[in-house]
Amino acid sequence: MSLRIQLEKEFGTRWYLYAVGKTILQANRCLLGTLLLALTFQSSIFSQSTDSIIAQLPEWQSRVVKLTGAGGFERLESHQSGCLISPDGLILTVWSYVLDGDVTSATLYDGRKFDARLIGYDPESELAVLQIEDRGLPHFDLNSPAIIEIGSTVFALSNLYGIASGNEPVSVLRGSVLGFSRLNAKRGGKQIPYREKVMALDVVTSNPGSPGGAVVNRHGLMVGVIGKELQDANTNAWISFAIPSEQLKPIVDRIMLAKSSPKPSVGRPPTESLTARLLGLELVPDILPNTPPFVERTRPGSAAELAGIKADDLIVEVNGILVQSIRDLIAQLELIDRDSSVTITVERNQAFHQHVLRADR
Amino acid sequence: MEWKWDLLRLEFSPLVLTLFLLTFHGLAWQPTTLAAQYLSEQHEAAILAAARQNENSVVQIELIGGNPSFGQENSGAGPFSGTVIGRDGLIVTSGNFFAAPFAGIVVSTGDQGRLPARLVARDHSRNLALLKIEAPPAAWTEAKFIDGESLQVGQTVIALGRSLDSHTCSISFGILSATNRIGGKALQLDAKINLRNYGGLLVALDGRPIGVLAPLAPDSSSPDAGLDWYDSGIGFAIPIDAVHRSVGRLRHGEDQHIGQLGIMFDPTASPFDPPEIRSVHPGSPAALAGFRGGDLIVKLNGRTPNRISQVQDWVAPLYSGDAVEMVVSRKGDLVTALPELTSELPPYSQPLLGLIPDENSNPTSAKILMTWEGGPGAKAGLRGGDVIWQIDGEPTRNWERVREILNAKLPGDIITIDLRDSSNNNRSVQIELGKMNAEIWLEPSIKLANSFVAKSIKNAEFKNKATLFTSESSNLAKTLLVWLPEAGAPANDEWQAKLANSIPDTLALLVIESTDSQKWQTDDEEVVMEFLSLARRQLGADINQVAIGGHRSGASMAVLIGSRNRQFFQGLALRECGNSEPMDRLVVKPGLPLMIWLNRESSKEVVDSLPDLETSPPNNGQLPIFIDLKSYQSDVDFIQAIGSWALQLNRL
Repeated sequence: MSLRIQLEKEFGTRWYLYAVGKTILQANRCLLGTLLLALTFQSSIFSQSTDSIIAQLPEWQSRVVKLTGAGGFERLESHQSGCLISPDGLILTVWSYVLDGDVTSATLYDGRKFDARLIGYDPESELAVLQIEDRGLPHFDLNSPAIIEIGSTVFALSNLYGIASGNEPVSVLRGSVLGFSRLNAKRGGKQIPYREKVMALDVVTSNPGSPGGAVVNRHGLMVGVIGKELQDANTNAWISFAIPSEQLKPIVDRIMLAKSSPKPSVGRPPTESLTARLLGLELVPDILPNTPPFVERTRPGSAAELAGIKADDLIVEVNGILVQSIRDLIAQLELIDRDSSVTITVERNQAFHQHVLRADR
Repeated sequence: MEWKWDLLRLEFSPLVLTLFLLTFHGLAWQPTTLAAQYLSEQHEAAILAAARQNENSVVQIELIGGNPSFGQENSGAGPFSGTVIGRDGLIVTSGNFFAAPFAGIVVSTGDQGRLPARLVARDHSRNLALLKIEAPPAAWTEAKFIDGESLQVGQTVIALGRSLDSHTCSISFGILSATNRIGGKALQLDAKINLRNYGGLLVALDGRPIGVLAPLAPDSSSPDAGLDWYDSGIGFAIPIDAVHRSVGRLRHGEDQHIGQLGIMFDPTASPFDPPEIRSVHPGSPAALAGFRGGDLIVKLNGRTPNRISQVQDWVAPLYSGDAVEMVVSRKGDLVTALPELTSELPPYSQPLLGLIPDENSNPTSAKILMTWEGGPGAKAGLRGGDVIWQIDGEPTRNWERVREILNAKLPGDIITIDLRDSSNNNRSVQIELGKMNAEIWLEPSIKLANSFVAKSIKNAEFKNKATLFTSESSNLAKTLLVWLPEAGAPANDEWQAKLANSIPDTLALLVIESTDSQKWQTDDEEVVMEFLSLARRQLGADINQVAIGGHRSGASMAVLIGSRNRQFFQGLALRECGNSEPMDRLVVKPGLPLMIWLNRESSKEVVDSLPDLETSPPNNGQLPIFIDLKSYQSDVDFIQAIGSWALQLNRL
């Protein structure tokens, strides 16, 4: 806080800088590096500025609303963020317990507070649409999604930690796009169904209050909506990500039309699947959570033996897909029809060998 | 930890720095400066260019059958990142991923497909691992060390990884926060460093490779060190020149370890004090090279250290196997030697003389209170009342000095002791030191005896009565026993009479009554801990160990409190321990050094419920496990026995 006072003194009364360094050791996280800058300024200072970003930030901030609802005890925060996506008050946010109370209120940039009505939510992406009764509101346009490159600067606009209240604008964090990756996340040990390619962010947004906020590019175009606080399914690390804009429109349309989301077409198992046994592969006992798929032996006369697979081979790929454990291998084989041929890559003497085989009838 | 992060954040956050800068330049007139530095498209374009220039040096790595998990975070079996370091297929990555067993390593870059790799060796000092691929794709480029402008705190750094997707590099950027971190081994940066880019490459804005990302933490070399700092704004990278030097050693297939010298400085000294060695670990490279306590280091690998921290900083980056040229000044003479650092110091084994020092009658002489029949000292003719005035020619004016000398010895070493006996005759004996063990010298008939004083300890919050018994000549107590009598049994003045002349004055006794006269309750834990802290304050800094014990229900309570507050108690003493209420919640994990005195079968059940008690004897016999199944008539008898045990804790 001394920093704030010092800066206020130096900047005079027209400038306020809130450097809120909040260290959160919630569960396993040390989320800092979260230097939060909420810049509240009078745009007149920049009226002649050549810097369009800074001049336009207040306008971008005005498209994000502060949501308050259920929660507010223990570690359950009662606030999150939402993005206005139409002039008549549609708000895109994440589905959470915050929306699960009797009343969810949305507070605009100018301090006006509305009761927000839940229109619907999409169980797979865990996004929800709310509506407030007003007209002519600032908003993001989902119809022309912006494409963004890895490494590009982005701004995350959200009410993280619920710091902003009343007519205070939401907080702005600077960051960049770390990369894109299929979401493979969990919450409290439960796998999250959404498996689309999401935008990994080089700015920590996995903080209470952030989810539902907007990620915008340097032109103020929305490139994604900040996802929920989730952990990577493999590493347990908290991840900062956004659902990219191009995925948002279809999801919102589904919610508006109250259609249930179609199940992904991939992964439907064939009527009769392949198994290691059908191929003549006997694997080492699967005793570890991640037992390596070593071949114990091949059944004499089986497809595996005839194809040249040998005892002690380590199975690396099934039809080009990496299998890191026996469990992975079984799951991959299950997706293959019993009568299809399959390419199995094994590692033997520091080299990969590919074998094409088909189960005996 | 938290305050440290706070400081870092304020110091190094680019925006704060910029804003500070702007204050002085006049913000309203030059708003573009803010954008020019951190928001400009030129800056962004330069970052992207630097990343593109190096993307062929960054690969993706996955393990088969690997699942190293430590603490909360879990490296999983990948994907994680690696950096191409040699044209011949050498890849360096972060070493922590290989801490647990795995069956295979698969390396990939977008279009090149997957390739098998093998682990060549690990660098445990810098948390790196070297992998080798037999036929590296031609497109790969190695991360070279390019000499250039020296790195400066505040410069932009770009962290590349390839774990999100094998076709593209992930880009995270920030500034350099510090150089020469973790014993001079690492760069520190504020870019987001996490399981996605550990093992990846750090580059400067001009595209020069400057380091390999790895989790690290000061004062820890465990495989999970630094992992909980992911995304915190505290990230580390091993400088690229050091990576190449490490690879030069690792490529021969031998793991590299932190080099240990084996010298200790005074723990109370400031880092700015002159580097005078306090003691030398027995059997360490320093000991083998002939260095000893009292030596002042005047030269280390050609440089002259004038403070302790310099010696530490210069030794920390060295590997096991490196030789250090060291010159010390000893009583005005210069002694030079070339100790070769080792990866592990020999386990310290405490030597045994077999005597109990008399630390009270005269603080300026090392007078023996009694010797242990059958011990090395007694065999060589040492007797109670003898004064040790010299060991190996070194004068010993007090027991502290004797301990210092013995601490530099190992069992089996032969020392010469000069003695003066009670009739003032001098003689000299040679003793082969034994090994400290956990044996108890049964029933030493010690008569010590100062009269005891009882002080009532009060706390307005609690109505329990507590009494602290100490020797009249206070400040002699080395062991504090917290005694919880059976619920309802009064801690009255009879204690004083019984205890007087019956327990050694090195024992202080704190007796606390239960709140409820019928039973001990779990709430009493807070009361006991509070009284303990009050008693410790009264006793001063001389207490070396605290034990907790009790009788019947008090014994159960002692187990409960002792197991929950291990950091406060080094021993547990139980008399007729029964299964009363608090025992239901008894959870005792292995690892607590226990001294257990038992006198009823019921108590033995408690011991049997303590896993690994028999199989994990405490180190160096300092806190022996002792199971005594004898009956004691009263608490006083029992406490007296504990007193003689406590006295033995100071044996040499």
